[in-house]
Amino acid sequence: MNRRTTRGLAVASALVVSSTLLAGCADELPQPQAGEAFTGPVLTKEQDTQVFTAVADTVAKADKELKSSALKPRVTGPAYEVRKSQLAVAKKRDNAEFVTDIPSESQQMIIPTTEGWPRTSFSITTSTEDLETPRLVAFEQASARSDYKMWAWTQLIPGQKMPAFADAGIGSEAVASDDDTLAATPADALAQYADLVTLGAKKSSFAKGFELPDGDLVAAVAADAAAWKEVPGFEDSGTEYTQKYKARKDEVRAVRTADGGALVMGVLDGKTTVKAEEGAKVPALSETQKALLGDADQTNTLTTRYTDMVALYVPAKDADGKIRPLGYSHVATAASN
Amino acid sequence: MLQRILGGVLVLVGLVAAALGVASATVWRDTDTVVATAKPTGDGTLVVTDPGVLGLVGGDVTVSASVPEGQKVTLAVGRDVDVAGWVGNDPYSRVTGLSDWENLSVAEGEPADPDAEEKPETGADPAGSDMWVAEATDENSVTLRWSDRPGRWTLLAAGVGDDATAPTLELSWPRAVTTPWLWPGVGVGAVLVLGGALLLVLGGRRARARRADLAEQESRDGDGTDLHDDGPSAGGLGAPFAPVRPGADDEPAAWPPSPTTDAAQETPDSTEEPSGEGETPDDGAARDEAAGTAEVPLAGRLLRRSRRRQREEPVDAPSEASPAAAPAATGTTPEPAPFGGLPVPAPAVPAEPTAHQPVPAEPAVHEPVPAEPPTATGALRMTRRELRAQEEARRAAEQGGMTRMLRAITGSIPAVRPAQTEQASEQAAARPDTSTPSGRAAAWRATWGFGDASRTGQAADPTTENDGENR
Repeated sequence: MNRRTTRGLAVASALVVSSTLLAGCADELPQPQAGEAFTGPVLTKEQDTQVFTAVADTVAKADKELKSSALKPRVTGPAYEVRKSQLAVAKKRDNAEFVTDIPSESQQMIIPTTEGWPRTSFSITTSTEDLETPRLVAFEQASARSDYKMWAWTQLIPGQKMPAFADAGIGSEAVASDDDTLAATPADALAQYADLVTLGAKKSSFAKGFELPDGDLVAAVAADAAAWKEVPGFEDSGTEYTQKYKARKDEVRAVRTADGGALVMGVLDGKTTVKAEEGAKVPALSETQKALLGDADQTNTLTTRYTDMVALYVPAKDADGKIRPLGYSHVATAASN
Repeated sequence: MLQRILGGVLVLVGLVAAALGVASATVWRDTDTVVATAKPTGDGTLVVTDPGVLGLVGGDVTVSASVPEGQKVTLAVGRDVDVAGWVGNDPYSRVTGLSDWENLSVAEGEPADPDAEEKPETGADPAGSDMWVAEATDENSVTLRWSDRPGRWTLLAAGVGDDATAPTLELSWPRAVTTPWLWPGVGVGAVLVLGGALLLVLGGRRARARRADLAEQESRDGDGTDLHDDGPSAGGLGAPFAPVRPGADDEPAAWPPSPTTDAAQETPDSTEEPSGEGETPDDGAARDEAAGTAEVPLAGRLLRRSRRRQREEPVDAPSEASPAAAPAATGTTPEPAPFGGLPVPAPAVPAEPTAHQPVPAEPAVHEPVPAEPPTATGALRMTRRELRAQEEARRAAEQGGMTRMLRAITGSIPAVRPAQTEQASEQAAARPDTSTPSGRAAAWRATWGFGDASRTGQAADPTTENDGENR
């Protein structure tokens, strides 16, 4: 046992003691590490489902009570307008058959990645119990402190193929109404479609930019006109039938599709006027018109206003394809004479 | 004495280390949770945490917020953008991190848009927003658990109502408290205590030994009887080994008609000249001696083996002798011829040129020397190497305590020496072949001392030598 060993042992024991004492000391304070910024969808699928459910519940409750005020918390914009009218008509008629059924289950969610507000998400519902085509519903969160509300719905046109969207887990980019990467800006596309609806596929100059399916709004409006013209004596009495549809400029919501195109939803204000000769009485043609007119006396004119929600697919500018109507909702919301 | 003091100190230090280790895992152990509170500053009813604060200490956090009696409070977790959007231009307190282990640092939040003219809402309730991924709301106080996930998640706490105040936040994280010093402390302590105790014991024993040494200083040779002593035990236990080589050497020498033997033994002495080279075999002999003593711990086995070898040798030697003798006979110098039989037993010799034939004879003469007390053959003086070996052995005997102990454990001193390996290979060669049944039987008999093992082994398998080498 020489001196070196002794010193070594002394050093070793000193190390042990000091390190043990040091062990009692606390660690350093952790600093907050901000994770990666969010780039994905603003809602998770679960959240979007909750939104959908909340809206469906609210609508169902309002439908049951036929009280449009109950819609307020979760329905807004054109959807609120139309629904309010539908509920009023239903109440008057005491029959809710013309109230659009909106399934409470979603089969596809299109969730935006918008950082700011308003934010719009879309959802494709399942088919209805009556086996009607699925609805395409748009939800909007107008501001950070407001809830997502149903902004519009359309009934999909049978046989129309929906464009592909980014997965709900990735999120879809919102498209501005004046986005110029498309064959037509969303606002323009709606305006052109309105022209097409007004004039019909044969007369409108925009017809060549559209690929119209059989059962779209153009056909529906034409059918309306035809129905009037089939009324006995319509032609002979020199009755005029005019129709005018106009797209609302600021009520446009669009979202990018997977192929770079866009799904555009908007509102067309329609107005049809039936003007018979002086002294003639123009009856309401549909039950809705009747209900909307109420007890007012019949006159020689009948003006019906429509609030039509439409959905279009607008392809990308350089893409090969035409604008396709995907769905619509054609509801008379006012009538006067 | 120093050993005992050091031993005592080591035991003491060991106990302290173990105690500190235990204390670090008990008394000084950190709490299992980190609880930090944030007191809101400035106006406003909102408290917002910076991204990352929720996962500051651990992934799971329990947030509780409390407001004065009778008020309502809401907690919500959402994406930083959403929370910022919700807060808008309302004044709020911002939690930026930990200021110490018990307090969160709070700063006044800057409004998102200072120019906005909107009158800030007070007491707005964030509860029920579609944007939150977790929320809780209650009177007076509310608790929310949150598991951190990737992304910039932010907590929003709001006092709700007309005369609401910002809530006081309390974030608590469970913490995995490790006790990294417990086992190292205890382990090191135990080692130190053991080491100290060992030193104490050895110190005591050495002191006793010294006292005994003082008494027997005159007759130190008696040390040889100490089994732990690897000193000059040649006189003691080493003795049985000593005859091994000389015996083997002598006998073959005697095998041929013996008159030459004496002459052979004399010759090397008379030829002093080659003694310089002659040291090589001397060295071997000396080492043999050392090796012989070194093998003491293996006494039982080796005793048996050497006895066996002794018996084998007479059979073995002549066969070995003749090839070795032949080159000698055909050597250039006629002189070695008379010693024909003698060089044989020294295995190192064949490597040497035949010219040095006399040299190998030397070991035969010298070999008995180390085996017996130096005085046994009075005529011979010890070589320097032998003296050194003896001195070494003496010193080794004197060394005591730890070193001796260690040596006993590690067997470090009997370093392998060239002569020993040769001996070993010889032994190996002599061992009966165990690859054949008869050989194994012979080995068994040899091991347990039945019959004449060597003869049986040889008779059963004449190729023993080769096989032994192959083994």
